[in-house]
Order: sequence, then structure tokens, then C-alpha cells
Amino acid sequence: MLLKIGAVLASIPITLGTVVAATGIMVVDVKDKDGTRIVIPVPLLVAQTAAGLAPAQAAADAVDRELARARPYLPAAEEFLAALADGPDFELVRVDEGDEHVRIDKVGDLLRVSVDSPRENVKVNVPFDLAREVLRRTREGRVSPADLVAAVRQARLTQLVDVRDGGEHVTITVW
Amino acid sequence: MKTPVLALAATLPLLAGTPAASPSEGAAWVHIRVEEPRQGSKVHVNLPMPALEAVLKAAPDAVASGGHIHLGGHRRGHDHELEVEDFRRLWMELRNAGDAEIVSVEEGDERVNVSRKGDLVLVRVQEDGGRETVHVDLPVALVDALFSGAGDELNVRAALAELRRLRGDVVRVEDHDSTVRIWIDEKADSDGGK
Repeated sequence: MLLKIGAVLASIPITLGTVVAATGIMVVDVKDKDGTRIVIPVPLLVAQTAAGLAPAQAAADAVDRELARARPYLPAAEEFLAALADGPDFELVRVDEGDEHVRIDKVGDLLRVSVDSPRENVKVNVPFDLAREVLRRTREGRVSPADLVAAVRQARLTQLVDVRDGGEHVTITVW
Repeated sequence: MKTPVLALAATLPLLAGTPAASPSEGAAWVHIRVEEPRQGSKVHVNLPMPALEAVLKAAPDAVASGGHIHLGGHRRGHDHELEVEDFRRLWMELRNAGDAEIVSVEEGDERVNVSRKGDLVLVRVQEDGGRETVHVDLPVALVDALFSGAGDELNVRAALAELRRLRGDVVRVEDHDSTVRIWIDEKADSDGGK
């Protein structure tokens, strides 16, 4: 009997772990200049549920107003991304101004944005699928915080953000 | 820097419009390079033609709003608005004239010259003793294609088909503190041999 109870109890964290692993985890890793390190794993399923419950109506209205003028151009943006995604890897944009450099490259399934300056280095990887999904949802109607989190779930195994600012280093990775 | 921007704005509609092959199939690449040496600024943009085509395919209204082209006016505060139909009629009358000077305007320190030389339409703008120079070379076939639409519409798709065959410089603008160059080749990088 004890064995059965033990098996049931053991199955709970295993099941939870499996569900979390299957639905994705976003890991925010912050290293401070004093050596402090904080790692925050956020199960995307939980984040999506929380975002769905959040009172974000005002924010959604504001975003919707901002997007009103851009909405007619979203299909063009989608088509543009699709065409880029189908192509070979290449450098899309390079801006050099003094000691500040911005690059946007197509690398595999990612649009990689790099900003380098003496003070900070920022790298953002945007999966084409993620960007197109956000554009599609936005074009079809309002995009909610829950929708954004759901779209992030398409970016599994991707380091979305890598920021180095002075001695601080922040990464956001979706597993 | 306004003239380079205008030149870019005038050229970009030409650089898009129909579905095409994947960019990996040796398709044309459009390169835009803007340099401002005094600011130590360089901007390089490389675009596969299919991406441009996709944009204008999905946003046809952006090509020629209401069939109108807006000319000038940025400097002197008034617009000279010409219908696409006016341009088409003018072009049809001039295209068979062979090599000729089509337009020559001198106003103050600004000289504008549009001429036909062989298979090219050459647009040259010089200002203030050469301080600013606009240098645009458009193949006659490209202009023909652009004006092959009906009514007030520019046929951007036909123009794009011509652009796919075009290689080399399309636009070059130089002024006292900036240069703009747009060219087409088959390489993804933006060195362009210059």
C-alpha cells in the first residue's frame, strides 16, 4: 500500500515536470556586477494563464490604438518575413555610426539583431515563426498578453535576449 | 540630404511587385548604401528581390497612392502634382525620339537634366556648383514597363520584371555630406565592388 502511495506521490512532480517541459520554460538569467546571480525559470503555460487573467484591458486598448495605422501594412510585413525566412543567411542591415554598430542578420530561422557600443551589447534573436505568428494574431484582431506568451512558446530552444551592460549580464532563453 | 531621401523614395516603388523565385536561386539582390562621412555614419541594406516583391504584393496601395506622383515642393513649400497619365503621355511622345535631351531646367544654382542615351534614361541634378548631385540611370525598358499600366496606375509588376534583369547602379546621389547608392547584383553582401 505504501508503495502505491509513494508511486502516486512521486508521479505528481514527474507529471508536472513533464507538462512544464512539454509546454516550455522561459529562463531569465541575471548576473550582477557584484557576482550575484539570479535564475528565474518561468513555465510558459503558467505565464500564459497568468497573462490571460491579468487586467490588461487598458494596455490592450493602448496597443490597439497604436497598431491601428500599422495594421494595413501587417500583411506586407508578414510576406516580407516569409520571403526572408525562405532565403539564405545574409546581412540585412548594417549601421555603423562612430563606435556604435547595429546589425540585423538572417541566421537560419532567426532574425538576429545586434547592437554594440562601448557601454553595452545587446543581442536579440527573433524566430521568424514567432514574429509571423505575432503579426498574424495582430492582423486578425487584438493581440493580448496571453497571445504574446503563447507565441513565445514557438521559440523553443532559443536564446531570445542577451544583454551585457557594464558588469551586468542578462539572458532570456526559452527551453 | 533631402534629395537623397527623395531619390530613395522615388526608386523604392520600382523595386517591388510580383511573386518570384526564392532568393536562394541566384535571384537579384538590391543593395542600398548611405554614407555620411562627417558623421562617421554608414548604413548598408541588402534585400533579396523576392522580399521586396512580397512587400508590394501585399501592400499595393503604397506603390502609387491614387495614381499620383508628388514632385518637389519640399524646398519651396509648394507641390507640383502630376497625374501618372501625364507622365505616360509625355513618355510615349519622347521614347521614340532616340538619343535626345528630354528635359533641361536651370533655376538659380540648380540644374536638372533628363536625357535619353541609348537604352538608358539619364537623370542628372546638380546644385550649387556641384555641391549636390543626383545621378539616376533607368533603362528605357524599365520606364516602358512602369508606364505600361492603364489609367492612373504605374505597372510596378512589369517594372519589377525588368528590374530582375537589371544589374549595376540604379541610383547614385552625392551631396556635400552624404552619398547614396542603390544597385542590383546577384550577391547577398553589399561590397558591390565599390
